[in-house]
Amino acid sequence: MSSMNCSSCGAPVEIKNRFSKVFVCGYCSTHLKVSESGLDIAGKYPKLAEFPSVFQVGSRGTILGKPFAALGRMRYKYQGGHYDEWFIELDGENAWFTEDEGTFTLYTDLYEAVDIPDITSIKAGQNIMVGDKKVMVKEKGHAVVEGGEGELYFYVEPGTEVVYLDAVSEGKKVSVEYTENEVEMFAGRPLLKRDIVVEG
Amino acid sequence: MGADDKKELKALKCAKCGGDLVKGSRSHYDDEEEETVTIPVARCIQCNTEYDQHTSEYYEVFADDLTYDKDSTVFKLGLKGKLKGIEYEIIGRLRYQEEEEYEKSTWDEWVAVSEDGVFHYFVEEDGRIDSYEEYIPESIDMESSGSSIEFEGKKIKKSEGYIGRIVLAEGELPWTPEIGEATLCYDFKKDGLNYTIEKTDDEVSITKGEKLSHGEIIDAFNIGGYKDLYANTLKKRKSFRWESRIYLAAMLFCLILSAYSCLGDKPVPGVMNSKSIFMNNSPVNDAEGSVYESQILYGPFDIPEGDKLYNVSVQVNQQVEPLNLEWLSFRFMLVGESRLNDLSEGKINDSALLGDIFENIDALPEPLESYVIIGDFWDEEGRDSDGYWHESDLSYDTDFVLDDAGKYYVYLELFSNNKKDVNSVVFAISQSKGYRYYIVIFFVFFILWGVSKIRSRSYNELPFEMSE
Amino acid sequence: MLRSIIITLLLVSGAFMLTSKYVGYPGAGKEYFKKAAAERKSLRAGSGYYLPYHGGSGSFRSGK
Repeated sequence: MSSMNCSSCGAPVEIKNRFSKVFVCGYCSTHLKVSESGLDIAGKYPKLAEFPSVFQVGSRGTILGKPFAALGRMRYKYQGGHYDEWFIELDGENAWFTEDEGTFTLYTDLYEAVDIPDITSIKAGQNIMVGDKKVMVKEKGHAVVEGGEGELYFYVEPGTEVVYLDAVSEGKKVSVEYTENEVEMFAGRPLLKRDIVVEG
Repeated sequence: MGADDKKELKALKCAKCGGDLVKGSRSHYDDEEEETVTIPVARCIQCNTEYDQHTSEYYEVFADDLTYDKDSTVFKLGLKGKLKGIEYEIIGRLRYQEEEEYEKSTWDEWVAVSEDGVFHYFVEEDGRIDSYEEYIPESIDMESSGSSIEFEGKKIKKSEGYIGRIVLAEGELPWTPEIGEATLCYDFKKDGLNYTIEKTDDEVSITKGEKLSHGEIIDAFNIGGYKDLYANTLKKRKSFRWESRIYLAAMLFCLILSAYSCLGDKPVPGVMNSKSIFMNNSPVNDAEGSVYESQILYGPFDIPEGDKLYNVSVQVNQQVEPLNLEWLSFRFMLVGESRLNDLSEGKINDSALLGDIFENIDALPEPLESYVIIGDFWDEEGRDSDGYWHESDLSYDTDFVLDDAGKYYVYLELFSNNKKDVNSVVFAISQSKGYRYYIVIFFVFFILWGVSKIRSRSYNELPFEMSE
Repeated sequence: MLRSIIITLLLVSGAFMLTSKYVGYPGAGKEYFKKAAAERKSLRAGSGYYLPYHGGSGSFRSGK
């Protein structure tokens, strides 16, 4: 945990997770890249529109009985609407939580910089190897990054197009996000609303 | 909505020329049905292009035929309820038509959101309701095998898949469907649960479901007006079920009675023990040519009880002499000893006199016989459109009620186109119980059973279909 | 359900009665004499002679 100031407006910035790569200033919405040397301005974007959500940045509570803290989120826009990808700390570990049109998924396993076949040729129903995992693609879609707030584990500039794959593997939900620069794969499970308890 | 709006909705365009599409039909020879069949198609009024049920255009044109009963459903948009402790709200509906069916064969998928933030699907089809939700299998492989899908160790044949086409979409849906959009569906059971895999070009959806009763739905969604109708329907169905059981029991009872009556026949002994042959294969000329005639008198024998039902069975004994591509006619007469005695003036043992009496039996002013049976046996072969055939009829039997017990004779006349051994025709008389009315009411009970069975499944006071 | 029990009892007892009385079966003996005698009288009155029985095949398939 470290305390700094926003490079744009000077507001105090408190980084809670040592893996956070970007911090979005809650005062001026400047996106600040977190590095060992300090905070570098990545850009300034409008604040995210307020949509009803189970979390807010800073929310605490339990998920499946384990304590969590919501650190930040990225919002994506796609054909069916938008979804939020929350970066959370769950029982001391990094985890990701998506909220999509009222449905929730908790991803606890992250596979970074995995190899996947040519994304353009992938179709629904196809088996692909992501790293050493065989997954079946349920859906392939396109989304655009709308923005973010709080601390972010990944950072993709707002306006960037992302190709995502929803898949299943070994009884887990798998989400693969593919940008020009990197590919990440998350594995997790769906959650019911009752599995999430937010304090206050 | 004005008339112009309506016209605009109907103005579907041909993909080739932009012409309007209308309902039409096409006739073609169906190899499986082995006949010419007429199927519905959408047709362009300008370029005559046809759109069959494998095209989206077809469903746009025929949508009204496939959705006319869209309001005859249990679920309605906006319906809220609590099922098994979880609150649901019905927010959307998709109606699918099975692509391979020309007739209406639809099902509704109602999209509900639960308080738990999960999309839920209630499927209403042919009066049955199933509840489905997303399922993540331990393993699934849809492409490794060309002929089957591997699902958690179970093989699902791809040939069992069917295509559903969207014909109605309303309310809030997780995606924006189009009329005619195709979904490949696989329904299967595993460990007692229902699973469905739905595959479109863009997405694979895997859901697990269970059957729900209409009562559960009516209670859960508080569809108050239907509670009494549902209770009445169940009560009536139960009553019809009981009726069907009673009729089934009655059918079994009739069968037992028939079997008892059938097996309880008591043969009259010694009917063929003694015989006198008056004529043995004598040629006789009649209008149809020459035939051979034999006359035999069997008896006397005792018929022990009067006012009883008796059965006479006459047949060709193939072991004595088979009937082979020929015919044989018979006349069987049951003759009371007392009448024969009266007619012969007591000379009943005078064989020549008896022969003379029987030779002229038809000329007697009063009938001598107590009963007569006439019949034919035949054996034929030939060819027809199905090819070679060989058929025969070698037995005859009938029932009658004999009023008086006593001693009787049987006078048997045989006519044949070839000479036949007189011993080749045998007969038996037995005291019978009769069972025809038990058979008749067996069929009456069968019909009643069928009707009550159908009604126990189909009786319905509700404004929507409800299966068992 | 009561209706089906009544229907069943009526049908079974009806069938039992018809069976025990041999209703619908032809009668041999006196009933036959009466019928056959009447037939013979009518034949004689009409044609003047009685046609004796002639056999012949009632062939099922060819109708010979």
